[in-house]
Amino acid sequence: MDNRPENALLHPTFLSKLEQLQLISRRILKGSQAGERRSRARGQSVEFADFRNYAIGDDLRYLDWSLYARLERLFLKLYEEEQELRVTLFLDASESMNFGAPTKLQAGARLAAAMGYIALCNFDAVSCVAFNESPSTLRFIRNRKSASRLFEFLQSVTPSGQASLNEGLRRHAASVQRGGVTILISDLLEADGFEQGLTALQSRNTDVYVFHLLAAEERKPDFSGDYRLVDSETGSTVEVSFPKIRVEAYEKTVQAWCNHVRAVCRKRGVLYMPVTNTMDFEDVVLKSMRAAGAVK
Amino acid sequence: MSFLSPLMLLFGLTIPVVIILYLLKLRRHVKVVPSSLLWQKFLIDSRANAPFQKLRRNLLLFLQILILLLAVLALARPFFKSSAQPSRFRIVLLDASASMQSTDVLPNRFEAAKSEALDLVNNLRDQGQKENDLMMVILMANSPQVICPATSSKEQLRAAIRNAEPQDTTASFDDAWKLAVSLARNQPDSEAHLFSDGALAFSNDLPTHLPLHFHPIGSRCKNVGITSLEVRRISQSRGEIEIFLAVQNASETEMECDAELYLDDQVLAVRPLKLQPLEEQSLIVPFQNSTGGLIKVALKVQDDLAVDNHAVVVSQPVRKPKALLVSNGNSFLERAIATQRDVELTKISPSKFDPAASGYDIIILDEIHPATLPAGNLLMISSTCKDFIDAAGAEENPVINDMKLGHPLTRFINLDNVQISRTLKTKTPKWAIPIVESPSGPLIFAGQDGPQKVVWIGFSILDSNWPLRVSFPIFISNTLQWLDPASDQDRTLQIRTGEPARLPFLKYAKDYEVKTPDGKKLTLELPPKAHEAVVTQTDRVGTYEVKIGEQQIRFCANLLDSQETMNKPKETIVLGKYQTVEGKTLRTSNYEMWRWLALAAFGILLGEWWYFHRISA
Repeated sequence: MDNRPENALLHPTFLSKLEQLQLISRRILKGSQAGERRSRARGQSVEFADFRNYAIGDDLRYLDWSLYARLERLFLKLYEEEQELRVTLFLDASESMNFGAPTKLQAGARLAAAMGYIALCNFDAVSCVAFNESPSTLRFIRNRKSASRLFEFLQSVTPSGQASLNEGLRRHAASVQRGGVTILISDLLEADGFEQGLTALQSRNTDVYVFHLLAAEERKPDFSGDYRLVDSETGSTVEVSFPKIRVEAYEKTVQAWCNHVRAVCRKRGVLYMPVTNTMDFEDVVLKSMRAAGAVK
Repeated sequence: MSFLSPLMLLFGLTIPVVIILYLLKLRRHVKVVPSSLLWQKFLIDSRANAPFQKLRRNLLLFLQILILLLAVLALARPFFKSSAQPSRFRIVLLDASASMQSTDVLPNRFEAAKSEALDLVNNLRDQGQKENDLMMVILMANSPQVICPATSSKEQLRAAIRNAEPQDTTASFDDAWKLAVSLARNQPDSEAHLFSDGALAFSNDLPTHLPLHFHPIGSRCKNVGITSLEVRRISQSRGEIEIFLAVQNASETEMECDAELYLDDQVLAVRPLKLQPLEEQSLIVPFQNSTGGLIKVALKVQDDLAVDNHAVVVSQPVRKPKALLVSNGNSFLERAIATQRDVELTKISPSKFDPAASGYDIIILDEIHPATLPAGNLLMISSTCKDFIDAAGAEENPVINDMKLGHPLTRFINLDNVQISRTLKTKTPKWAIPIVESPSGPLIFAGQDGPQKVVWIGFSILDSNWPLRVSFPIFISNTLQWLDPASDQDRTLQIRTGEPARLPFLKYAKDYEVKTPDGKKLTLELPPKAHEAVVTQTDRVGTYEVKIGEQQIRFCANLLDSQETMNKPKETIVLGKYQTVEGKTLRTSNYEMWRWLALAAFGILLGEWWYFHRISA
């Protein structure tokens, strides 16, 4: 049951539950700032990583004096550096997301808010891109106190126009410098698909989560008869004679398409989660996502 | 394939109109969806799964065009020409018997049979002048009548069938069938169609090589009818009469009715009857009447067949026959005749006998040999007449070795203890049958030569011990009754419908008039030298009035046939010894196709209606 305060994306009690969770990244990544994640970078921490020969200019504080006493050679002790995880929330804000009750965009914004809040609680850097014809971006924010900025940003997103997933993801990939996690929340209703964008993103050493968000009406239409269907984004029309007896065939088509998307994701090692706008949101985050390995 | 009405194909121009209307007609609801992507995928999947999906999209249009095409084709009346196939010969046997007047199918069975027969006519093939089907119609009444000879003219056949009327007679299937078989003998591919309720008699020696299609008519059996009516005169002198009546219930349920008896429209008796299923009850109603008249019987009952609910007989007024005994004195014979109170006897000696004398109904010649034969019915005892019965000597002690049982003369007679010492020898004439025979020839014979009935006894009764036997007075009584012209009249004045009425007349007239029960008047010509008038048009139940010169004769025709009364419709008939013909519905033709096309159009119309409602549900 939705018991959050008005205009609030997430209820405070739910937020406190989210604080217990942590985003799972299956890659050891490089962040720009110190954080709580293991990284390939060698730096200051308590975890010993390796030795290497001393070179002029190295910090003398990391010399292993015990080895120098035994071998009379200078070695430098290397430690693993714990760095932050850079999480990018990639929210589809095209016109097609403005359907359903609640709208897919509202459901997606809540999902993005939950994921962003989990990341912020774990000292990860979170940025958010609401992409449509004129994408808006929230630059990286850190720590829990900045969560309100994320929430405000998400609430301010309004659906409009078309969104080219491939284009949006490629552009984002170009801006990624140190990898991280990209969480894509979209209905994926793109004629060109999203595989190219995914490829571009993964080539930047980015871990990708795909939340495939569809409205319940899209899975099982609540109308029948002769219709001229108008695409909300492109304005193109399709004429269908859709008797009730063909609802099942339609459902099969949608399921086949979802299976195809799932297969594409699995092939690329992308975590795929189908979500419907009417699903119990807390269950999705606390149970389904945990079961799928997106959070722990 | 050709068309009987090719101009009707112009209606095909309406097909583009339907297409235009269809294009104008279809209004789709407009609905905004998040993306048309899924719907396009759905349509592609649907097409992939159904090869004719493109057609299905406009299935309604195609169905409507198809309906229109079929309707236009039906209007154009297409038919197939098959010149290789020989023409067919069909013989329609239309049962016109009384049972076909049953009203269990409305208006009656005969009309239903006519309707089915007309359907058969409609389905005859029209293939041009040479290859047409031929059909002929035989009306099965008391005797078969060819009401339409073999023709391919449907109009002629229809007119003949429409004008056919049922009759109050039995139907003779055997005669009709033999006629049909003989007519079909030289026709290839011939078949007979019997339209009947099956209430017919079938012999088991009928030829079976002509294919017979039986079209059963009728739905139920609810009928009570008179199957027998007879008037017996118990005593001429006292005017005692008995009416014998038999009533049959043909239904499979109990029926109640009143049997009303009238004498010249005066009620004689009313007898309520309760008849069990298939029961026949007999009634004997005695009454006294010496003046004669019309005795009518009417059954008051609600049933399907009315024609067997009434019957009528003529009762003759009491009249004692006049007998002339020409004898040299024969007390045994005189006593035997005297016991017959209903006979007015005159005795004369042979010397006073004038063969030209008239006014006698019966003349008894006892050992007399007149040169010419007297008029009237004759009992000749040891008598001969030149050129009529000649004796070829005599036989001593003849032995009786055979007696014609069942003849009215031998009723209650036993000749075992009769011995004869001498008899005349002669041969039985062609017009007579031997009643009592010895190994060498007849001892007694009887017969009718023209209007004259003759009983001939070859021996003098005084040359035998017969007068001492009980059988002698009985035989004389039987003989006088048989020779009484009134007994013949009773018989000739009551006939069954369809049988010819043979009416002896007193004076010859060139023409005679017949008034039938339904009021028709017929004038018929009497052949010269005829001794009786024959009325053959007796196919209606009721009283016929015949006027021959000044003489008025009434006779009655009745159905009185349990086979017609038992009018339960049959589903199968047995033809010949073994062949069973099952009833079947009428076969329709494959050649004129418009009915099939119209039926198909109607079926598709229903399908289109169903599909329309299914997709718009």
